[in-house]
Amino acid sequence: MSSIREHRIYPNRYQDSVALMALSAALAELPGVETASVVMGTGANLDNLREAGLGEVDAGPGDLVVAVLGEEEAVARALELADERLAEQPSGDAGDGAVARRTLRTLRQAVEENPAHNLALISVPGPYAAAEALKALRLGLNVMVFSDNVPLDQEIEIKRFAEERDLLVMGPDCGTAIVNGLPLGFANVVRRGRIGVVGASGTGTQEITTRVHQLGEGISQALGTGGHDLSAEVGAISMLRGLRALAADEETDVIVLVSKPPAETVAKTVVEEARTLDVPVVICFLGADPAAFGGDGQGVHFARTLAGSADAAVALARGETPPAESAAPPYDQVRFAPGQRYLRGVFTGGTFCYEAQLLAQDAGIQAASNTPVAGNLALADVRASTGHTILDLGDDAFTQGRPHPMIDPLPRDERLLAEAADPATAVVLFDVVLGYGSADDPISGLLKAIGEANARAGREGRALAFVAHVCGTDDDPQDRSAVVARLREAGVLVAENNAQAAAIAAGMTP
Amino acid sequence: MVAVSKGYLVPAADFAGTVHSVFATACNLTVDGRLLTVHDAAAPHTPTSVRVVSWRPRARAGGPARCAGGILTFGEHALDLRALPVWTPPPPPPPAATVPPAITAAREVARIRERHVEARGIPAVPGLAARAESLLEALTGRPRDVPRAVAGLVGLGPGLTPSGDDLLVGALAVLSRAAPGSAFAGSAFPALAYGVRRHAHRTTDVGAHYLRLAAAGHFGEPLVNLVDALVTGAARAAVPALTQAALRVGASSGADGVAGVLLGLRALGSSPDRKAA
Repeated sequence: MSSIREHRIYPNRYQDSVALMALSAALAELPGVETASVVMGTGANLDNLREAGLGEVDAGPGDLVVAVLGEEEAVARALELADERLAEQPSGDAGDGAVARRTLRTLRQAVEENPAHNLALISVPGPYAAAEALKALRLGLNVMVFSDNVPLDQEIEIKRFAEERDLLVMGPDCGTAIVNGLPLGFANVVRRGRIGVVGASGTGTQEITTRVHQLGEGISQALGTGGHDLSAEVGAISMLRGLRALAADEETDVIVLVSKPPAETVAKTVVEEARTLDVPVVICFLGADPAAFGGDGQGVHFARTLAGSADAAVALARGETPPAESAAPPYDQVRFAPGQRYLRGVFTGGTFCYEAQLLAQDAGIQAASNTPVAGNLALADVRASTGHTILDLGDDAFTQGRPHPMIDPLPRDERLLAEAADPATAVVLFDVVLGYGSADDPISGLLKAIGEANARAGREGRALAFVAHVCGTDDDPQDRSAVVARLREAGVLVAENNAQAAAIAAGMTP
Repeated sequence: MVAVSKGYLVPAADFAGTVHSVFATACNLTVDGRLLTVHDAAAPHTPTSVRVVSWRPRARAGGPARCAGGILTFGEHALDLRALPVWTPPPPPPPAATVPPAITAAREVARIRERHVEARGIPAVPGLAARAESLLEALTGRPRDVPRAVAGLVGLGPGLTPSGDDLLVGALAVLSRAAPGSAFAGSAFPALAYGVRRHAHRTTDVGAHYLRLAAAGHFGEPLVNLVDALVTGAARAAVPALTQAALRVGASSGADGVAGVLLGLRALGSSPDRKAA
């Protein structure tokens, strides 16, 4: 069949380059199309079209040109597809390559379209989030506020407003939830089951839900509260509401609460509430002393670590006694060169960083950090590590105006390489967080960085220990087993969970 | 919607113009043949941009734009430009110790760019690499061929600012900022700028705007920061972060601009200055 070439010109139509390249590729992949190009009609591009056999096109630099070469029917189909795609993505929409679809414009439209809708996810700049949340609450919707930087008085206002209407507010700054099996924000693919989680910590919730999955149990609901909920000012409004909701949920047999240390009076209220429930509650207030809240008993079990919380919840769900929280498993010690003496932690998960600092303290390591736990040191310059250093690269200090390292791991890879290049570094500890929201491929760059770091260390007569843990499941889009295998192949000691990784890394450090 | 800062070339006096183009988070306005861009504050400064927070552009291309008494109006928007902080780039770095640090750090920049391109799946533009090499050869050995080499790059590639344009802007940034400390850059910059001015009409309006600014020595914030760090070596540790900031501009413009920076550095490296060093 002979080929024909045709083109269409869209005057004064602007699209970003990635969108145009994606469209070119989509057209070129159609059966019967030999070549296709979607470009602005600049002289250089028109020359290229001619050289590619796409013919002479009379267009100006402000015109968008779609040119196709191939079988007659295929060319017609390609031009039609281009027309559709360009119509779907309005002129001037500097999109990211994805084709825009018709969307609902307001929450009210969403409720009118389907009155069964009962949860709104709000992600707008912080100063405007409370107003949007109030709109949703007035429509009878529960709310998850992904936005951060929401003023505390507004957080209190929306939470009290929700309380009066028997609704739940997750957040502000709630990055993780699993509602009726649907992952929201940064969350993992876990089986549904009988363990419910209420978390003031996103990665803490991810660690617990994924470990529950790995141990063979599942999650009924995982509700977030936002990081400020357990402050004295907010008074755990969302955590208490979540706790009561899960206690009343027939599908939840065990509840896990997770948070960094809450305000003491608030913690006591939460613990007292937990002791009144008919379902067992596992509480993990990282860094807090359970004795201050009366310790285990009356349906409450305290866990020191995130993994320990999951282990306890699974045991309780099975009618067993929670196991003792395990110490670091055996590992091969690395022979470091003289002068190599420091632990360097490079985390994308804030709670993982926090937990690692606590466990390193247990091993006698006082680390510096951009988010130091009590007893640790604040880094003077977050760009320069000093002594033992454990960093949260997802903290505001590193993410102003850029994506979180769970989304774009490049800054983590760069920092890891920099830490490994320090002759005083012995052990590099890091996390890899999988699941929805996280990078599609979080480790290719990382493996390259580790390869470079090892090569450099080898040239300089040093040996490095890389210790990691991978938060995720085999059902996540990134496939935890595959990620773990690739890391191990690169010589990384991959622990079962963050607590183990931190304990191993601290133990290895000379 | 509130304006939070503006570039140093945003007109201070009253003006009238039209809405040129409207994007998801930005609007271009045509004012006296130049473009003025109103964009989200998440994007970095350019010499001719007004940064705003919390907005979704509501305007139609071709509609009127006006600034009177410091209040800019267009579409459904009214922005108070009075007493806004003005972003002004620092002067070009002093002429001491310029070239060697740049050459050293270039490898690191190239590596970060390579990862960025790979991670984002940015495809190569046919012919771009070969034409960039032609420009490099012209800059370093055949100055008379510079305009012809520039002609091959202007407008090359898809998108709002074609890849060839972005590459030229990156190269111009290096030569412009290094000029005080490098006789080669001091002569190569005007040669390249001449070629760019001559052929800028061959690309899109937006591409031409940034090319003309660059030919006059005006660049966006990420490019200025990266290039200054490279040619002075003063902030070596910051180079990865500055490179990433430059890469994040636009969909693929950042990667093309950084490719231009690398080309500029290569031109410096094979310059008579470098041979003498």
